[in-house]
Amino acid sequence: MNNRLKVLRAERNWSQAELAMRLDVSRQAVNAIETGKHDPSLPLAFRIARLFALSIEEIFDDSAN
Amino acid sequence: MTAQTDDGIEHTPARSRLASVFGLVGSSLGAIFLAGASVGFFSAHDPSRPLSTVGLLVGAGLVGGTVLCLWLAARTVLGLSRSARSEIVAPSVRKGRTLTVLSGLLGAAIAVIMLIGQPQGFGAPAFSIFSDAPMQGWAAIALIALTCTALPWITWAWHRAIDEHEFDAYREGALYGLYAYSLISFCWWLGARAALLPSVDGVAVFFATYTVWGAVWLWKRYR
Repeated sequence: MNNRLKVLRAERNWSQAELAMRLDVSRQAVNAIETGKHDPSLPLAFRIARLFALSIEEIFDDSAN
Repeated sequence: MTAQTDDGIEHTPARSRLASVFGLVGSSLGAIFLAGASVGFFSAHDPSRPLSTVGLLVGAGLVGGTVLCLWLAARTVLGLSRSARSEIVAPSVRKGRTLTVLSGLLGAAIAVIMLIGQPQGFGAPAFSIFSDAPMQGWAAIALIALTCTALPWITWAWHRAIDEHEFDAYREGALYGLYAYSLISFCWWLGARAALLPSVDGVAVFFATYTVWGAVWLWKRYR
């Protein structure tokens, strides 16, 4: 699944580790989501959306599927 | 501390930390095995006769190897703890790491009890802990008690601490481990029935299963 997580993170000048801490996940989890190797669960997707004050659809895009 | 490369992936010290963990496991096992071999070597020697030059060299090599392994293990522990203190990590990740260290200590305790629980004690050949050789009753009871109490508690707490990405990696490793177990045990059993292979070795199947599980888990986690 494509997502804008890396762009949103870069806009805030956060490292993967900083984002991981805010989401209470590991840095590897953030990396896996950014590179499309892991699709987050619905609860984690909501946490990400809340953190960036956006809707899930504004961050994640499943059009490739 | 992170460094970003052209692939857009931040390369933190995670991979070097993984290498350090493998180094720590290796040096700890080396220290345990070499300490056992040293005790075995010197207790087998007749004290009324002086050691030959070759004997002295072998003994010094074993003791020196033990000290070297202990030094490497201590240095790795210090380096890992320094790196962990300076890194930004989520509280759940820190908890998971603490529990991983605890499970490592539990594994070391199990290895030591297995080694000294053999009839020959600490002087037994180190690799015999993986065999079906007889074991003293107190050691078996202590190991069963540890395995049935500390291990489930650490596992339960660890599963509550890890994030979904790690859990997925663990679950996929477990699935491949299950398939590896089914394949190895069934084929070995058939081969043994046809006298093509020795009898099924439960310990070997156990380690093969865990090797597959661990390899897939680490690959999914750090790829």
